Amino acid sequence: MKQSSHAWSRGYARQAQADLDAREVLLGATVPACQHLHFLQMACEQISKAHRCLGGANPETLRHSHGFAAKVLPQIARELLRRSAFAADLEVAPRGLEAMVRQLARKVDLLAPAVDDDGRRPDNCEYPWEDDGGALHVPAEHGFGPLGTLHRHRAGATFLKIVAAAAAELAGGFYAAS
Amino acid sequence: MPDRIETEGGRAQNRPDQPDREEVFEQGQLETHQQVMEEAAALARAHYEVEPGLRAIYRLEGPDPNYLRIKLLEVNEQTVPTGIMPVGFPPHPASGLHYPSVVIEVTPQEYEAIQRKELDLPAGWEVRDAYERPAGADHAGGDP
Repeated sequence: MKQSSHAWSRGYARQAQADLDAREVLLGATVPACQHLHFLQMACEQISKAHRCLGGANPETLRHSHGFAAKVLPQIARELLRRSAFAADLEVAPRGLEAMVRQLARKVDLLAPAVDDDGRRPDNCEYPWEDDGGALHVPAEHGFGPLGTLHRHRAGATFLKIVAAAAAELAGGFYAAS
Repeated sequence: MPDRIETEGGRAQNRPDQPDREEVFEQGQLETHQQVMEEAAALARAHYEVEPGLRAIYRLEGPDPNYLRIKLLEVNEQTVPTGIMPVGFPPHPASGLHYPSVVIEVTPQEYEAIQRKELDLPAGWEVRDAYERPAGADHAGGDP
């Protein structure tokens, strides 16, 4: 590996920003939920890899791995809170924020076809799947539960904000994982 | 038969038995605008019901490539402070949301900074009226 961990981290984060930009474009279009959720899932994956690069993980190994968002995004939320210029002024510490972020991030992780909880969660945002009863499901026709209604889910906006803020900080090289 | 006829001066007019197209267009725009406002209020109510840390929600107005997009400023004491970071959501007709929406979620301290002009909203966006909290919706704090 010729490039530094920081360079790889910025690379992954920059790609996350591009995925979020693509998601943004799709929000005004008439497309199934799977399409913009696919970009959200890819963005979360890229951010997680960017964060892990700073923690010493091998970027090449990370390339073919999935399902880190549930571990990494709550850490990032905690970091953003701790390092913020406004943090010292916070009157009320966010209660249960990390748990909410973890819960949503886990659902996002499961959108990747490679993450299926040992076959228990074949639902994903890319390929059709068959359930235990033999029924075929198509991502373009699937609702995706809470992720499909993130606009009215608790911490939905906060979650997206953390994802966008993490991508921006990591892409700008301002972030140092603790 | 054409809907519009040319007068001697060359000015197009509607046929007497046809509705004025501009009026119809304006009426349609008014109805659409009204629907956007109603859906924005419904979305704000829904947020109050699920977010215990919400202190206030304001309607935002300003230039937007998608002029029908619902824009909300939410003051939430249970969020991370990141500055102005608009996040978008797609329409969801099944739950009554027919337009895309964007939420700028800030902490109470960030909201104060917006009021002091120390934190800038997107260019040209302004804070308008506040949405009332529905009766019974949980909240953790007082006024923003």
